[in-house]
Amino acid sequence: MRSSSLAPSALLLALLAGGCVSTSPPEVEPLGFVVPELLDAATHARSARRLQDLLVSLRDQGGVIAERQRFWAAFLLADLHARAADAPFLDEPGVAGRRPSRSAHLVVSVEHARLAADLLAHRTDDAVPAEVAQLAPAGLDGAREALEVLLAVGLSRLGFESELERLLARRPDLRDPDRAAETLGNIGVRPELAVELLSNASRLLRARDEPAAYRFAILAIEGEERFGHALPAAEAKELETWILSGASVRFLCPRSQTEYVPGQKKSPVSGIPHYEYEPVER
Amino acid sequence: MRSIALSLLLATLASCGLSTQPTVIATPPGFDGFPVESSDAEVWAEAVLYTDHVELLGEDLVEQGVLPLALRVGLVSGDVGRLVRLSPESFDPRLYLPDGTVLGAVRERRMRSSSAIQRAARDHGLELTLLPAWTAAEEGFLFLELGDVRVERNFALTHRQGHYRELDLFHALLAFVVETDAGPREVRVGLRPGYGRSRR
Repeated sequence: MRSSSLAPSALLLALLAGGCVSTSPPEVEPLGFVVPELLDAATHARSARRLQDLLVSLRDQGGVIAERQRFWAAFLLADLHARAADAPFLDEPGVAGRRPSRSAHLVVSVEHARLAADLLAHRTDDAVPAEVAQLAPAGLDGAREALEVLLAVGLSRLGFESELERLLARRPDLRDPDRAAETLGNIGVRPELAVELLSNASRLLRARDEPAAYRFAILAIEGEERFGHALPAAEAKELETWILSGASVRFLCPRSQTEYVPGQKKSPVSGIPHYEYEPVER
Repeated sequence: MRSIALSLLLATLASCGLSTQPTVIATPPGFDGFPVESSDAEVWAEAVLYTDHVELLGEDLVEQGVLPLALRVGLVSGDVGRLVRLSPESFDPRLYLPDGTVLGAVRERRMRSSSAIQRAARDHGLELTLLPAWTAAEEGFLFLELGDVRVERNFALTHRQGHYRELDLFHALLAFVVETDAGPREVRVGLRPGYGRSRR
């Protein structure tokens, strides 16, 4: 009797407490450094230097704040150098003198993605400060997944497919062209990286799953409309060449039997999108 | 071993008149480096960093500012009818270090200025010619200009953006160009460790 009279009030207290937690989450301390504007290629060199300086200054510091800052500095450096690969500020020696170096940026990006993954594995808190919330909309688990994508795409851009292969094997939602785009969006992978991943996934799957390779190719080719970022023209052309002549099958509109036409998005006869074309024997 | 290597590097820095208290950024321990299987499906390459290269070459080239790397390159299929070759004009080897520093090949003038480098290149240099089948391919050395980079065993110390940084050379990536009948193509490969005494 006594316990039954107490139970409702205990439950009410628990609910109230739960309600309090859900309506006002604990304050996350600010990150403590200025997050660079990664979209601005003109400031990449300066931002990279600042982040590198920060990593140096945090080198011997312990504690949750330093740990958090170290992780985000490494994360941002990995992302910054992946972006800078398309507009390099690092250079390399060449036969005719020094030249901009895409590969140097990708190597630095891979190194820092590994460093960030190491730091993340040892983190003791899971707070995401507001300044970097847009980089990790799915929290630290999302940041971990975004790092995996960054690493796999970085290695793939350097010609090494094994990491991407492992990622696709591990993640059925990324391996399925119908779900990949949504999954990448949920993780918070930025459009450039998403389009690059889809393009590389297409190339990787050619040897064993041509229909999936085709759909990934269409997603990447239509990157501008679907993600807001266009695949570089040379890469789009390579994918189109494979669709038209490299694949062992032809991809046709299931209703009008029209073939894929570069530059168009759907069959001019049936209006069925290219993405829904089906493989037919050559 | 790592701290010994770093101490030696610091001693080298001191002898070069550089700061003896560099700020050193460590390298991620969970990274095993780039794949040691090359990035190309047709051309196989194996790049080896011999940390005791003096035993093999008879010269301490690092002391002279040169990093020797062994490279073995051959065709996967053994289809030697394919005209794939390493050409002196386009070979263009580069070693990408994890901080963005890139080492290029030792220039001809520099080569001529050092009899030790010349001897090593003559006796152990990689032959730049038509690629044989992988099974017949032989290892040879290529020589990279260290510039300001200091090296001790598999550790490098670079000075970039005001910081010294300790780098593991096994996190570096080697790239070079092969000439094929479809045009030049870049091959990339990670470094694997080698030990002189056990060299085949």
